[in-house]
Amino acid sequence: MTQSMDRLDHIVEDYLGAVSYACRDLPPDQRADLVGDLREHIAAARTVLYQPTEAAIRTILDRLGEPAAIAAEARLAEGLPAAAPPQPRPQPPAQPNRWLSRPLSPGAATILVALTLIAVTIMVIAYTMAMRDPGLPPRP
Amino acid sequence: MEAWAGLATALRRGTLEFCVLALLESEPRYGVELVNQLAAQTALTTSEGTIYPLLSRLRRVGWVATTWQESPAGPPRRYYELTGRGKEALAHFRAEWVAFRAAVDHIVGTEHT
Repeated sequence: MTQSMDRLDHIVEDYLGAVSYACRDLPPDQRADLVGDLREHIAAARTVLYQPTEAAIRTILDRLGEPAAIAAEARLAEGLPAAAPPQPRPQPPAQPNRWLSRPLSPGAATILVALTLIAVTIMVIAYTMAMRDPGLPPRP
Repeated sequence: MEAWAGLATALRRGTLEFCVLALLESEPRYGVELVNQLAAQTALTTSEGTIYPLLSRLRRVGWVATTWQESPAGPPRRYYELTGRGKEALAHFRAEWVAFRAAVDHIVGTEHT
């Protein structure tokens, strides 16, 4: 059955987009060149179709081949390694541990030492008072 | 995967571009036409799309030149034709290939196959 042109164009554009993405490490002009050549090939192949069906379009694309295979060939023609570079993962930058990795400013160090001293003093006082406390009367 | 899985690809690598030059020797051709002729020789191509990076490279090294021409049906077509340097490259390949083929045939015992 004949599909609307929009839908067929969409399939073609998806394919070309996939090729372009697979070639993302190539120089932009060469990438545009390759996508332009493939677009022209598809347009030429479409003109001789008896009926522009989705199956016919998909056959044209299948014969062109997997975007990754075309990209691998393009990379070899450029003398780049055949495999695509690892996909850059949009990872949030690792949060450095602020307490360990950043040297403390002199002011912050002073405050930290003072707080530690105060805490130790309070604990010593509390301990001393606990020792002096007679506590509960012995059980009968 | 067998160790020889990449053999056809490796053999194709150094030769396919000269096959393209040879196809253009007699007359300029457009992309789809070239692709169809190469695809008819199944040993030479993996998929049709892999020819285009090769054509692009041949353009950049100046072995082929391209011109746009109106087509009787559909959008204009980009025709590829052999340049003077492309002809030299093809002549050089022919000489190399004959010597190479003879040496390999002699050593691996395929002279009379």
